[in-house]
Amino acid sequence: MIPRSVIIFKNVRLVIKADKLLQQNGIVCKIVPVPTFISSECGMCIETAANDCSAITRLLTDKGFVFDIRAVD
Amino acid sequence: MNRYFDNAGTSFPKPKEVSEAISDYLVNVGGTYGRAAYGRAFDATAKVEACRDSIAELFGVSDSSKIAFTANSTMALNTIIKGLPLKGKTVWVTPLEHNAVMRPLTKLQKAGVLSIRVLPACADGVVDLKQLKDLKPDNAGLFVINHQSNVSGVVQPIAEIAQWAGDIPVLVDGSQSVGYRSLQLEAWGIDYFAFTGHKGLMGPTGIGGFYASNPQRLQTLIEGGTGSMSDSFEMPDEMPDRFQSGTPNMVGIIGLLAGMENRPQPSLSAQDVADLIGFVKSLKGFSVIGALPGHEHGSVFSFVHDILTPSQIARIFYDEYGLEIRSGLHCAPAAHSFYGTFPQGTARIALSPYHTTRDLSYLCDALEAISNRY
Repeated sequence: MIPRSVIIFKNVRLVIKADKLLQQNGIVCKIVPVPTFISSECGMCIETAANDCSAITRLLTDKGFVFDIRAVD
Repeated sequence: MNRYFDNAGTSFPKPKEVSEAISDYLVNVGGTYGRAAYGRAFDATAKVEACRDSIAELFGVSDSSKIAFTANSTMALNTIIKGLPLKGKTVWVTPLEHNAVMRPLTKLQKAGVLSIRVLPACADGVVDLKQLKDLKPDNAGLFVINHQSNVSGVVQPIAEIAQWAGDIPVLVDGSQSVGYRSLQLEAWGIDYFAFTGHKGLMGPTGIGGFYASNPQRLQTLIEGGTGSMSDSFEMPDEMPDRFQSGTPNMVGIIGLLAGMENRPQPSLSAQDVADLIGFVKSLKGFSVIGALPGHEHGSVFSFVHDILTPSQIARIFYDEYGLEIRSGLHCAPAAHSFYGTFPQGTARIALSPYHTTRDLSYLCDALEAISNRY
């Protein structure tokens, strides 16, 4: 099984923006509920392959996003 | 034939895509904002953000998170006025403010929170920039400017006023101007801008909002669930959640996005509007309330008649010609007091981008017939 990580943002607006950016850069990602062990937020976060995290971090940081990446597996 | 001339009340018709988008949402799409992660919720949330982005682009604002949705302009204006630290301060207004501004300010004035003063203005109500230069607005906490009057259509020089105001915040009521006039809110240094979705933006009623250059300066008016920081009883500081308590008007926002994306190019030119106003001025018995030469003017104006009251004009228009206009005080008693049309009010013409020269000819024929009859 491919190790997965989730990218957490402060609000869903940032999730929408980040998802669009990642997709435009060919990164495979999926919108999922925020895992309960992280938060009982009602909203959404982005799940991705753990080994894409470096590229994702660079991409999001370059564009000024504030985010947190957590392993889920 | 388009006989509807009350577009300052609400615009009609709307682009067909507005009802199609609303129906599609209600029948096929559904979903709410930011409360879940399944596809339907994501798509609905993405639509809301697309609308926010479109508004930011239209406003000349680089950060769309500074746009908050409300039920209407009135809610937006109340949120800003009541959210600012105005205790002990003076709020300066133009003489043409709508009751959406004057009523919350008057309530605060009567409670002893603030005082209200009126900016110097020319005869048509446009703020007099020459007199402004000499004005020393001591203890000013806020300037409130009605960008385009819903009574006379006069347009205020908001960029110049904001520059003069310096560090004192400027709140612009853009209810009548948005969708009709080009906006560069960031470049102009506008601190707050209230808008509605159902007039110039061609959306449905029940949706509006505001831009805040520094949203952290505003206290929240309404607190509730935001789908974020759900483990806390505190409102999030982050925008837009800070001013997005409760489920937003999804139908309204989706309709608004469709309206904005499908706004028609106006059939009439500025000259057509000027010619119409000039024609009304030329008619026996009629007087027009509008901008002085050299001042900017929107596609709205009012008029009165020597003999007929505004309500009589509105009734003749509708009963005999099928023309739909608004008469009275237009929720702007301050403007009518300034123009000398209080308490009887005026009859108002508010054009749409859908109006054609044929529609204006019909209107002019009706006006001429009334002029000849009375």
